[in-house]
Amino acid sequence: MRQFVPKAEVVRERFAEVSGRVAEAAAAAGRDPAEVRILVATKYVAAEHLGALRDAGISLIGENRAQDLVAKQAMYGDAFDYHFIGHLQSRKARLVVPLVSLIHAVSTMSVVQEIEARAANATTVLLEINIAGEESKNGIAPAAADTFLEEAAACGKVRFCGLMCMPPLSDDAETARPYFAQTRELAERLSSTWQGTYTFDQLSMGTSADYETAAQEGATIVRIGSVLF
Amino acid sequence: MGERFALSWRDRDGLEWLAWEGAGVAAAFPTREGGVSPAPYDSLNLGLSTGDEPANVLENRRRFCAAVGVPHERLVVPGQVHGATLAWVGETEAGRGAFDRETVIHDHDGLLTAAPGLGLVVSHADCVPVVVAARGADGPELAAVHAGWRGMLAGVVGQAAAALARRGRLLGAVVGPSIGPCCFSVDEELRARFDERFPGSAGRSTVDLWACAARDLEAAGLPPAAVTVAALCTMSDKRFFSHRRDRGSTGRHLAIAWRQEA
Repeated sequence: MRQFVPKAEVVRERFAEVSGRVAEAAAAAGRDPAEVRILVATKYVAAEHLGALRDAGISLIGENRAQDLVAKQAMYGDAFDYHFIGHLQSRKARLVVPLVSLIHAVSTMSVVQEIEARAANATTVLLEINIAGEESKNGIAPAAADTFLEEAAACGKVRFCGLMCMPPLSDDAETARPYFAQTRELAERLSSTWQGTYTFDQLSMGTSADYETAAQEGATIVRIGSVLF
Repeated sequence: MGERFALSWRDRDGLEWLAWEGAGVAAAFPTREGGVSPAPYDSLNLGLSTGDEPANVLENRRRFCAAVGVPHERLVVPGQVHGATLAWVGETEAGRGAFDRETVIHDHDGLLTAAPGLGLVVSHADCVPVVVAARGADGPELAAVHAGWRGMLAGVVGQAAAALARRGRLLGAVVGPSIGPCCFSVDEELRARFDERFPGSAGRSTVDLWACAARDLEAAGLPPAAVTVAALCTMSDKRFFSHRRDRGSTGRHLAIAWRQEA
């Protein structure tokens, strides 16, 4: 199993570099750099090593597995703001919902219903869009988003506030640009269609490989991992 | 159930290394910090087969051995040739290659031992260092393997694990800092060879040597959870020497692995 063992001073330096690049990319696109948050993906960082991220000044982390999230939250509590960025299984929703401030990848009605059943309060989530129509990926096809949201609207505690996408893997960050742009355009369209029910102003897109492109194309959360360690 | 192995950063006297430890076996993978060599070997160059002054290398080895706690005179250094030949070593071999190039264990890319306190060495700067730990009849046993792409295709990693498995029970393995899937670009011919030998290990023009090593370790009997990949790419991470990045003109790391005192 791959494992990152972070060193606080290395992470601090690299995070500053990534932050600078994100700010530049956002500014180049005429955006306010403060609109883009940098989430650190910690799937490959063991719980006992998260302290180095805290010491490096990291505040927002994203977990892929419910059990890991539970273990890490138990160790570090309020030191981080936790997001869930993995594929959420409905039977794990019960564990995840109380611990996170945002669930990134909701794309099935069973998960929507499970969150509705388990949540004490309104729970903010992102709709995962399969923007390139890849069979291997989760997510709702852009054309099916409205139908899905109509069904989900019966679950009043589940509040969609944006979209999440994962374009096809590529060596070239430019390959992802049209997919990021399409995701942003879809969010703009959904914002007006669903005004009063849902907002779509959060866009979780871009990883270590293409976060600058994503920041130029409207991302409000980029998910960074390997480049920091 | 499985033994617990821990991976963590350690530092002492200006040197830093990634430490892997568990089941009576330890390994140390240094960065390039804390030595005396000038550029392009700055600064902890531990390889004698470079253009660096041997006196610098020996001082660096002295420092690294002192920091990790393995006596310099108990290192055993293989003369690596990108092959798949392994050797069991013991007290008789203690010190071979520790202070000179002439006495290395020639033409071997992997060493195995059951002897406590003997520091098995892998010299590398992009190639993949792998350490395997097992429980033999008389306690911990280990293998330290050097695998570049040739050795990986030749199966040196799996053969070392299999050699330990024949005598005891495999417990864990670590894949140390080396060129990562982000940077290991290959031509089409090599890509195809990897794709055939390790299906799924090749990207469009890259190969994931870490995944190949893990694959062979698992095939030899290690559960996936017992295989730790340090995920540090020597080419993209300037804390390490990289043969490719520095176009051959660079230092060498010595990974050292040993059985802790019984």
